[in-house]
Amino acid sequence: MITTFPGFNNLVHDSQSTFRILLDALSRPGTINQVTAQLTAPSGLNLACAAACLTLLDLETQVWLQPELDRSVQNWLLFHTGCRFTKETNKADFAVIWNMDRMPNLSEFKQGTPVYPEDSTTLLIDVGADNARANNRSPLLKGAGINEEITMPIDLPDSFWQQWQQNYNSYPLGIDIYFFTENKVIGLPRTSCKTNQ
Amino acid sequence: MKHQTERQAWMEILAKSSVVNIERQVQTLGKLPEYSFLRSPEIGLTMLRGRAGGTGEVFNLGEMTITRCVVKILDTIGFGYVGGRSKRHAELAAVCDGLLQQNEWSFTVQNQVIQPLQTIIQQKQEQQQRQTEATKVEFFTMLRGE
Amino acid sequence: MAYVAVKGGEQAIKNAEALLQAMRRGNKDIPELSLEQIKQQLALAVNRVMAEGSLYDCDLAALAIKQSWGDLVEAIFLLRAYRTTLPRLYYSKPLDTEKMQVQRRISSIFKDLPGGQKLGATYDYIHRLLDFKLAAENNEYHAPEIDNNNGTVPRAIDTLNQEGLIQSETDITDTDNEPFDLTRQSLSTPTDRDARLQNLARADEGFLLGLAYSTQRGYGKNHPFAGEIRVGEVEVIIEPEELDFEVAIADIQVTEVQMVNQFKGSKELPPQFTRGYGLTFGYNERKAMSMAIVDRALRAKEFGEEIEGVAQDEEFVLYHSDNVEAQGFVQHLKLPHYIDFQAELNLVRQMKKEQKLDSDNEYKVIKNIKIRPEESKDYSEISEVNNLAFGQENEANVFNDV
Repeated sequence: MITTFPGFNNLVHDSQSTFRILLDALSRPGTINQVTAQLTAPSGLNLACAAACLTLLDLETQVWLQPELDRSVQNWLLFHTGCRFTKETNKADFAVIWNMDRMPNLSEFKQGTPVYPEDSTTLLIDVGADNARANNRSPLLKGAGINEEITMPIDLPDSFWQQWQQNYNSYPLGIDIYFFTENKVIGLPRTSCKTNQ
Repeated sequence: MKHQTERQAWMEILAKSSVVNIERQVQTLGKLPEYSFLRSPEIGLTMLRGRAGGTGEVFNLGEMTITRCVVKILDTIGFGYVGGRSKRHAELAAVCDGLLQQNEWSFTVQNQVIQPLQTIIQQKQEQQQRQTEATKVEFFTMLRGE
Repeated sequence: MAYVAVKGGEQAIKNAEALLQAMRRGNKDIPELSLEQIKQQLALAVNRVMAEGSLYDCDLAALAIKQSWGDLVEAIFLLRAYRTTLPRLYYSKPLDTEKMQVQRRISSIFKDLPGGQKLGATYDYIHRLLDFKLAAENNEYHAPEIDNNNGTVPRAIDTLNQEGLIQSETDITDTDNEPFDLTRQSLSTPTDRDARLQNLARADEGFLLGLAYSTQRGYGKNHPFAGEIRVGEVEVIIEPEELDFEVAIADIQVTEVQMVNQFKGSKELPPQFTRGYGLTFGYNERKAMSMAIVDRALRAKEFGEEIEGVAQDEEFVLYHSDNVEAQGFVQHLKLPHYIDFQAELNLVRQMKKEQKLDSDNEYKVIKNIKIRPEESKDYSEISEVNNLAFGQENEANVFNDV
């Protein structure tokens, strides 16, 4: 089935500006970054996540889609990016996740190797609009690209932070994460550590 | 002989014809229906592969340029995939592919575009075969002694 | 040691580029070359640039040749650089060379073979005499034609295969593992044949020719026969995911060479013929033959042969075959090395002084025997030299005390 949703309005400029925003988000963990590209996202993906997919995925990327993601998303990604899909989390270059409660453990994704630590999975997580605010439980982050400390601006479950600590400890291996809500992106690279508060 | 569907055959002819020839034949169709791009003409690469010894292990030989395009025309979707870097070529191939899937257009497009283009391709190929054939070696056995 | 970085030459560089462009264009009274002229009348140069530039696009290769002022290695570099700006959209199905529309096909192992020997357009049987008629313009030529209704011919080697006399080439590709791609993965030895063939297909023609020649002269003995050489057009087929069926996107010209080598057998393998394979873009016979010979030489380990020649050494061959890499490293020596050289200059001056000191001492020792001079102050002198290692003013006076 061929998608009838178009991709970026302006392929070159939209993908370049989105790439810049994704780069900034990972360089400055915990900051909120706005995607400026315009597009109609397929049902199941918010605008920021859809824009990141169009920017990062191509013929040479293996993508794991969390089960039960709307079928139209797969057709849309295939048509516009030509990416390959895999069922195995430890083979994925990117993983698209829409439900954090049911996502696999972080350690099940590709961790990279000592020679090629960058060869690990990058998670693209759509957190929805509800979680998209910090509350008094929101942890502080420290690490590369953070001036002293920064408050993680989204609310994430405790179980996630336990797994994240393990991911942080396995540096230089480990995964990196982008969180998306509406048109905003927050980066959480493997170098970011939740502080003990 | 190649086993291919009618659609594969016309897509091949559109890809292998020159953009100048396609343009000329498409003009004979008169006014075309409106269409929009589902995927604007886009230039990229295809990695070409060979096999060791012609039949064995697959290897990457090198790349070639390719242009692709997808149009929406009269509720059908037309695809164009052509070697080279002509966006117009890919667009015309996609438009023709879309029209050929339409009952009211397919006969005209077959007759006025596909058939003439096929003839041009075939003539060129046959001429090349004849030229090559003219260089075929005929061996003579020399009688010796007696 | 501190040094001062210098900058400059901006105007000189701009003017040098402008000069190059003007000289490349030459006398304005002479018509400028069109890309179509290059494509048609310098087609073999275009073919070489496409093969080693690893990008099949006649228009781009012609442009690169025009831009590079006829320097083909520079043109190859331009093409390689351009291809990195384009996204890869598809992988083709393996080219089916058996279905090639042949423009030339010869075999030097069988005189009579199905399809026959078709010479095509070749220089092979023409005297290498300059043709002064060509110096005049408006030459017209006519190619003779003989009717024939089939452009494809079966493979010459298949007859050997049917008798089991030649090592067979069967598809052993693991569907889970994509063939090695050196545009995406870094090459490390030991290599598999897929990586080697990709490397050789892009390799410098002259380098491969020299290696192939070295095997024939005995550096890694293997006597090849040209089992089959075919040049012609093959169809490029892709299968876009969004279509779920195959489409042909072009016919491209390639040269394919199957070399056949006698093999006396090993513990594991019976005596048989073995193969070397060459495949290149365009009409590129010298390159394809060299590739096939080197491919066979590099299979030494697979056949349990001793590595005797440089052409059998995969590390040597594969790491030095790429002319874009090679010319870059050789030509980078033109870049300013003022500081590196200053350091070496000082070092050589120092070593020279030390050596002079040593030889003076030796001389003194010899003299000592005769004249018993006072105790030498050698040690302190050497350390003085060290202290002054980076000075230039010390050349003359260090040895004043001696």
